Amino acid sequence: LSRQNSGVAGPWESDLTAVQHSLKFVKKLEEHYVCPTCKGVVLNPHQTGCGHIFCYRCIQGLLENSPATTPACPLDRGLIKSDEVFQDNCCKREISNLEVYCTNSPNCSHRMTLCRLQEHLQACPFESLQCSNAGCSEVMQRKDLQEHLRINCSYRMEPCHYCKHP
Amino acid sequence: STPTSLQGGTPLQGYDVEFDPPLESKYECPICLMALRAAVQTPCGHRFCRSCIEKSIRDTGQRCPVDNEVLREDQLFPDNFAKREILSLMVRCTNVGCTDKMELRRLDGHVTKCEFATVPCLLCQDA
Ligand SMILES: [Zn+2]
Ligand SMILES: [Zn+2]
Ligand SMILES: [Zn+2]
Ligand SMILES: [Zn+2]
Ligand SMILES: [Zn+2]
Ligand SMILES: [Zn+2]
Ligand SMILES: [Zn+2]
Repeated sequence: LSRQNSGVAGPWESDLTAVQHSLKFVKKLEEHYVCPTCKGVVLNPHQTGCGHIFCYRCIQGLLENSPATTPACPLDRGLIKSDEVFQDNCCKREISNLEVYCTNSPNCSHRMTLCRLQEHLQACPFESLQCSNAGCSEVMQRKDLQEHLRINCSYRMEPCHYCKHP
Repeated sequence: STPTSLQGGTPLQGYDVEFDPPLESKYECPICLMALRAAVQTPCGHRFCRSCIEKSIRDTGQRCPVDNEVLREDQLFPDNFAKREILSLMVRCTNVGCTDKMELRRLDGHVTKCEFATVPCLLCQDA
């Protein structure tokens, strides 16, 4: 797409696509951090020649959907030329420092910068998980997993009543 | 004080004007410490006035002055987002007695017809 390796997203944003539209920012998200195409916060921001900022995924979609013609920017109808598009790492840094509430709020009261959200969700007690036992498809919050594994799971291993082996 | 032209004067450093509210640091050039003029962005995500960073690359080498990342002149992208934002920031006319406030993009036009502009005296040619 551009002269830089645009496809590479920072590790903190690579998994945010799933929660992109449910992110809750502490301060109202400034207009220019909102992607004109998907209306979520821009992930892996790329700037066009007309000075608008899109997710990499969205600008790539625009360029691929009209391979024969030059796509127009939805905001100002300016032509989006792929050689003018660049990875806006300044915008990326600004966004990574925006404060968000945990996506499991109000259950979880944590707030952190956007680049720390993934790390938090890996440990958040209120994050939904599927039981790790083979055959069990039950989904619960992380804080309830231990008890489920120990007591409630129909697929848990139990010591055999006869030989005491699991 | 003399009005700062949006075009004139070389080398073209940033806009040395009075912003109200004050300029946010993200729109300040790390080299000339003024508001970015013809803003460009580097792959490492730093913004400079085009002439400031081109001069820096020529004089002090192919490095970003902020984080020392390798930086060639052909890697500079015009940051038209920052440029548009900066031109729409509010500034004050610097002529003594003038209280006008306008978008930066209108300052040049205002200064040419500002009632408080200092004009050279027709008799003695002093400003
Ligand atoms: Zn998008
Ligand atoms: Zn545009
Ligand atoms: Zn949480
Ligand atoms: Zn289970
Ligand atoms: Zn400068
Ligand atoms: Zn840099
Ligand atoms: Zn004036």
